Parts: sequence; C-alpha cells; structure tokens
Amino acid sequence: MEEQPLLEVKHVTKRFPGVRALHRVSMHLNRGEVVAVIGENGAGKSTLMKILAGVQEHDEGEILVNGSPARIDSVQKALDLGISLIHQELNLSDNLDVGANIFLGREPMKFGLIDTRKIYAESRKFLDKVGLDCQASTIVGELPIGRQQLVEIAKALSVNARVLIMDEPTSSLSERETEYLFRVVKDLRDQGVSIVYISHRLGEVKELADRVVVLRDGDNAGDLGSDEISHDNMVSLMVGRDISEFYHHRDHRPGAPVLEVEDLIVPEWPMHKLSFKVHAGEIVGLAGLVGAGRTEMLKALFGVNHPLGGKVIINGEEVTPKNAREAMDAGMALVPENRKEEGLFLEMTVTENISLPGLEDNCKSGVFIDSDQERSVTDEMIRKLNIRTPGPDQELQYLSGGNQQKVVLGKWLSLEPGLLLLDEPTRGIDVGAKEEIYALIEDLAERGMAILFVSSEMEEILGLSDRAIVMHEGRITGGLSREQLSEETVMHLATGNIEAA
Amino acid sequence: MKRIQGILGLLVAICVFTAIYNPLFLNETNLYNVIRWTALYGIISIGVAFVIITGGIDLSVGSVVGLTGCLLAMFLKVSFVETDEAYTVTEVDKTRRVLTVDKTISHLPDQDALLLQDPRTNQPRQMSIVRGRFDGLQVAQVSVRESVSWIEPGSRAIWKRKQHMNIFVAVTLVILISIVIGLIHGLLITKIKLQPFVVTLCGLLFYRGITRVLAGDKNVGFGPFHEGLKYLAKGKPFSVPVPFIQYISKGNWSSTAGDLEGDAVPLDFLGWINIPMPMLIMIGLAIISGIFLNKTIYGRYLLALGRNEKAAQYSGINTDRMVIVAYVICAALSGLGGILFVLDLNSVQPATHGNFYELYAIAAAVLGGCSLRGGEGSILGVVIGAAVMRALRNSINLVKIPTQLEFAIIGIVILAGVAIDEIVKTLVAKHRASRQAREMAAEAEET
Repeated sequence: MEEQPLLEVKHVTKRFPGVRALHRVSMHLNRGEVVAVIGENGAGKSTLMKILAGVQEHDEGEILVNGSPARIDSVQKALDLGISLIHQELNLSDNLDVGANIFLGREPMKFGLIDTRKIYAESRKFLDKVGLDCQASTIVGELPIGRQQLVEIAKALSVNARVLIMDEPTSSLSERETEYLFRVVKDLRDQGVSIVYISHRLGEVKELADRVVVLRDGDNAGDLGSDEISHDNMVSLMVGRDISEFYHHRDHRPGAPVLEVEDLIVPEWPMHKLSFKVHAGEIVGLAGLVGAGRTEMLKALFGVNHPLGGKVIINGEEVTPKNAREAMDAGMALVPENRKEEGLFLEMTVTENISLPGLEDNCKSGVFIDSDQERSVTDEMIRKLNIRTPGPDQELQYLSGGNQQKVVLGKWLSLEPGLLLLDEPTRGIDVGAKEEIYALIEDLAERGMAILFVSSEMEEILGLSDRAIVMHEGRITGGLSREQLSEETVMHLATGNIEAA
Repeated sequence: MKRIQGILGLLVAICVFTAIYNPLFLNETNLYNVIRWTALYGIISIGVAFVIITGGIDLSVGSVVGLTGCLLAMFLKVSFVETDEAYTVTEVDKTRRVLTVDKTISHLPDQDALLLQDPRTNQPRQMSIVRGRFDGLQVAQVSVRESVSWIEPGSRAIWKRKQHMNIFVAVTLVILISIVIGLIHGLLITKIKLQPFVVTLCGLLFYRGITRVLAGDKNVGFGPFHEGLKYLAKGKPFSVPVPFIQYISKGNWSSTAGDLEGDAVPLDFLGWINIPMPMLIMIGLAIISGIFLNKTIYGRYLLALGRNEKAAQYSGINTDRMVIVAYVICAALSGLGGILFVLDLNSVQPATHGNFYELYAIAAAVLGGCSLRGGEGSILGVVIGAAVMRALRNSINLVKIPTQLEFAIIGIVILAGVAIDEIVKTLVAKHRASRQAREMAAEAEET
C-alpha cells in the first residue's frame, strides 16, 4: 500500500565544533512500523534522535511530518507533532505517582485544584494500552525499572505520540522485562504507532525491526528490508567492510600456558571459585552480561582488587599480585574499562602518559627521568600504533577517544608484557580506530602474547576470539571454542545456563 | 613556564606602582626586609605546594611553625652552671663597666657570667659578661652588661659557664619532630583514609595546644644568645649592586638628596642591597624542589597521582608512599621555617607564633599555579607567589592604606589573580576548539 510516510528526514546535516555529526542523512518512517537505527559509536544516531525530538536543531536539510515541512525547534513542538523520545535514562519523577507523572505539566483542574480522579481514570486507559497492571496511584519510585519504562511509554501515548523514539531501551532491563517490552512494542506497532528503535543489541533488532537504517560516521551507510536483516549484513554495513576482514582474525596455534588461574575468589562474588588458562599467542574473549563480574575478575588478576583466595600463576610461577606494581613485574598489563578514570591522565601529555609505567625501569641513577629514552619510546609507540596527534607533547584531552585508547595501549605495550588484559578495549571508539586495534591485537597474538579481553559487544567476541569464556553472576558458566561460538551459544551461557561438562 | 608570566607581571606591577607612589619602597633596608620575609614564607609555601600537588591540603603549617619555633627556643635555653673558678675583683671601672680581677682569665667569656654577692641585699647577683680578653681588654679583665657601681674591690667572683643543648642536636631534634608530624599526617591520610582537611585541621589545633602547654604561655626566645645560629636568619652573606636605586629611593628621582642641613649631597650611582641568608636557603630549597618535581621519577609520580590517583595506582605507582613523602616534606619545611622564623623574631608568644601562616603559604602556592584539585604546580610560581604576598603587604604599609583594609585587599588580589588565570585558561581552550572546528570543516569540504 503506497501511503505517505508519517515522518521523513531529508538530507539533514548537523555540525558541532570539531565534529561533523550528520551529513545529508535521510530516512523515512511509515505508519505502524518499527524502524531500527543502528551504527557504531559516533555514527550519529543520538544526534539524529535529538534533532527529531526537538532538543537540537539541524543545520541543513528538511524534516517532513505527514508530507508538510516542520521546524522542530523545541521539545514542546516535537510533542505537538506527535514525536516522543523515551530516553535511556528515564525522565520520571520517582517521588510522584504514576498518574501524576503521566499528566505532569498538563494536569486537569477542577475548581482550581488538581482533579486526581480524572487523572487516574484517564491514566488507566493508557496503562492498559501498554499492558501495565499497576494502580495509577502507585509511586513510580517503587516500581522496577522495566515498569517505569512502560509508564514513560504510557505518558508518551497520552500526548498522542504517533512516533516513539526509543534510545537503548533494554540496557537496564532484565531478560523477562525485555521480552515484555518487545510484546508491548509489537502491540503498539499493530495499533498504528511508529517506533524508531535505537540499539546496540543486534539480536533485538533482528527480532523487532521491520526495517533497519544504518548510519556510519554521520552518513547513511545503507538500509535493510525485513528479509535482509541479519547479523552479518548489519555489521558489515555498520563497519563498511567485510566483517571477516574487519576483525583481522587468523588462526593461531596456542603455545604454553601463560596465565593459569586456580580457584580464584573475587571479593564481589565470594561464593564462586574461578579457574581457567590462557596460552601464549591465544586471544580469549571473556563474555557475559553487564554485571557478570568480568571486570572485577580482571582487576583481581591484576592485583588492584584483592582476591580472597586462589592462585594466579604466570609462566609457571605463582604470582597472585597484591598491587599493580607486582602484576607489572610479573609481565601483566591491564587496559581498564574506564580509561578516563583509570587509565589516563588527560591533562598530561602523550609522552608523559606513555612513559609512566616504565619510568622506574628506565631512569638514570635510580631517580632522574631519562627524557631521551622517554621521547624515543613515545615516538616508537606513536608510529607503531598510528596515534594521530599533532605531536608527542600534546595534552591527551585534545585527542579523540580512539587515539586516547591507543595511548593507553601504547603505555602498556612499551613494557612488553607477556599477558595483556583488555577491558572493553574498543568502547567509545570510531570504526577506523577499532579496526586498527583489532589488527594490533592480532599482531600481538601472532608474536606470542597471551590476550584476555572483556567485551559486551557480541560481534567483537565472535569476531576476535580464538576461544571464549562466559561468565554469569560471578561464575564461569562455560567455555566455547571458535567453532562453537555463536550468538545463541554465548547468550545461553551468559544467562546462567551452565554447560554440561 | 607560561603560567608564571601572569603572576610575575602582577609582582612587577605591584613593585612599580609602589615605587612610584612611595619611593621608600626601593630603600635598601626596606627591600632587604621584603626579600627576607619572602624567603621565610617562601620556604613554608614550597612545603605546602607539595601537598597541594597531591590534591591534599595542610592546614597545620602555622601551628607546626609555632611548635618547632618554641621548641627550639626551649631546647636552646641557656642556663648557667657554677664552676669552681673563683676570682677576686681588684679594680672596678664604673663608666666602662669593666672589672679587673686577680688572675688571668683562662678562657673566652663567650657570654658566660660572674656570680658576686651583693652587699646591699646580701643576695648573690649574676653579671652577664659581654667581653673579655682578646677583645681589647687586659688578660685579667672582663666587661659586663649590668651596672657595677655596687661592687667593692676585694669582692669574690665565681665564674659561671653558659650551658645549653648542643645546637646541632637541638636543630636536628626539631626537624625530626617535624618529620614525625608529617609521617603521622601521611599515615592517617593513606592508611586510615581520613581526609587531609580534617587531619591537618586537628593538627592545627593540637600542635597549638601542645605548644602552649610546653612553653607555659609566656614568651620564649633566645635573648642575646646564639648569635651564630641567628646568622641563618639574620645574616647578610653578600650584597647585590643595583644602579639608580638610590636616586629613586633617597633622591626622589634626582641624583642628589638633601642632608640634615639642607645642602644637596650627591648620591651613589650604585645602591647595594643586602641579600639575607634565608633567601640563600630558600633559593637552594627551591632549586632542589624544582629538580625533584620536574626531573625525577618521584616528582612525576606526585604530579600523576595528584591528577588521577586511581590511574596512578593502576600504572603501578605506590601512591600511598608518595603521599606520605609529600606530607613529610611539607612538615619538614614547616619545621625549618619555624626555626628560621623564631631566630628572626628572637622572641615569640607560644599562643600566637605562626598563626595564619598556613593561609599565606596556601595563598602563595595557589597564586603560583598550584591547583587545589591537584596535579599541577610550579615551584618558581610558588616563590613568586610568596613574593607577591610580601610585596603587597609592604605596599599597603607604604601607600598608607589603613591596616584594617589589609586583609581585604590581600583577599581581593588573590581572588583576582586566580580568577584571571581561570578565565585565560578557558579562553585559550575555546580558541583552540574553534580552531579545530575550522580545520575539520575545511577537511570536510575537501572530501
């Protein structure tokens, strides 16, 4: 049926100082369909959504609602046009009840006072639409997050939203709440509401979306119709190249075990003992849901989190480090999850950052900094890792996320560790830098380094690992060889099903 | 390096303004004093800078100055011990206050004393010896400070030896106490995880109280003794020639000055400004500190941990140890400062000596570019900051601003100095961001 699209975005461009966020991006949305917008970090998804929701205005291009050009210059204007944004972090007042939240700012009045009875009656209609069975008088703060999200959707519907934009809606939801949300979304679609769905979780996209729009580096990278939506298609459009090339994977023959973990007890999960091995030249992916305890385990291996028991053995020698220095002396390196808070000194220069762990070993007469050595190590790392910086004395805060991450890598690689621990190594990094880092990891494994990396990106686990270890709530639920690796097998273990021995 | 241009400019501006308004600013003695006080406050400011660089603070600096100063005075308290050397007075010179005795005085008087019986009161009376043999008197003569009118020839005088703790031991003990204080601060902050503000605030109160108890709430000092040690604070090892300075300070911008009779007396082309000993000490400390901070791995570790303690830990730095080192340095320099201050002032009150010094020290450090968030600081900046504080104080006096306004003005100047610094930083960042944007737009146009 050829009908006019409800919403059309035509060649929209948006610029920020130093960044080109969107460049002539176009998409359309029909009545009663779910369109997923996907892309890597920095692709422009949030910018596009903010423009549609009235939070920001575009610089060039036009937006058409029901065929007529619209200027969405405020959030109120967007709401008037029927466009509602459901944020990742919910916008509810959790000290007020459900009804009050739904009618916040437009409360019906009677004799100068708020007409609570009307609020509850009206709210009931919309709560039913989203299948929420709680009372309209329930305080929002007492509801679990999944239901709070449904309240927000009900609120959007109550202002006649015809377009719902949902930004990473499942990031804080449990499995069951996610399933419920999917049912609600499909119901709404069947009722004629259009939904723009933004998510990193390609499995969800596959299940929900009628169409997929892919953005890359601020441009349209391609669209996928309902029969074209597959993991591989999505990823290759997102990264712009053949995925097998993207991950640079080569088969390795692992050598002797570099890391042996025996019955390690991580303080956050004292009831579980962890045991596994990582061999030289092996890339092991550590998979699991957020909160599975992977970061805590890496920190326990590195000595910054003190294990309650167990042994960490490096190259046959029991090490079990009590602090970072001991771990470093044993040949370990940790690239932490949160590079701004744990890995970098933003106001110090590239040189100062890269040289820091090695200062003591390279100093003159035990005390003085060897500036020549410092400079040559930095130059080497800038070259090897292709770090884009005006110079080695540039303050780190002026570098892009990808280059900052390369500096973190560079600082550890200069110590030539035998075991490299990476926690979310490509978080917040653009596609180009991501590929460079994958190539680097491959290269290091080829030369014999043992690599253990944590990632919440399924594609990364699937693409990069020789082997995967999966954790769930502090426990290792199983291991998967490369042949066994797939989204289903990983999710199966990540959600707590233990592998049959 | 670029950071100090602002504060240096401020210093020059204050000096120039004051010199023009009241040329007495450039008087040799005035300049000597300003330099001396800059040095004394500079030493404790450098100490505080180390702590601020780690992201902490030390509010106890003033109380440590008070404690160490009073302790030194108490340790070096002079007492007199009776010897068994007895002399008989043969002659009394009442005008010159010189006593002649029957035997050769066997040793240098060195501020010793003589004990005689006062016939008027029948009580023993102690006479302080000022000079003896080798000082222009006969081998059997001493000159004393007090009046000798009551002494009869034939009186018996007993030699009393001056006694006090070994100077080296006393100074070392005081510095050791400061180091222990610094250790305690550091341990409480790193191991018990107390906040620096709280720990050093309690220190401020505690050390002040201890000082008052130990010293008994009355003035302590060195009296006329310990001239050798006082050289550290009052010595003038050399002078620096400055051309034209007398023309401005004495001659009111001309090359002559009126003397007491009103005649014009030509002034010297070169004025000589004495450089006080504390300034040499401070310069030495500043150079060592600067090298430590900028050229050694420990200095780098301190700067890193001040910026981001977690990242420093994750990079293998023993942050606890470095923080303790910083607090020990601060307390030790406060102790050294305390020693020099008390030697300079010669008589201090235990209840107030050192009061508020921590504020001046912190102000100097902040003016000199140390951010209270930690991770940055320049020793040269701190020194200039201390100079600005002292020059400002001096200026307020010379410009005859009432002392009530003194604190207000100092407060405003510090605020202005820091605010301008922040504004300049923001403007530079904005300029850089827009330049980057233009570059990116140009790049985008090409593609």
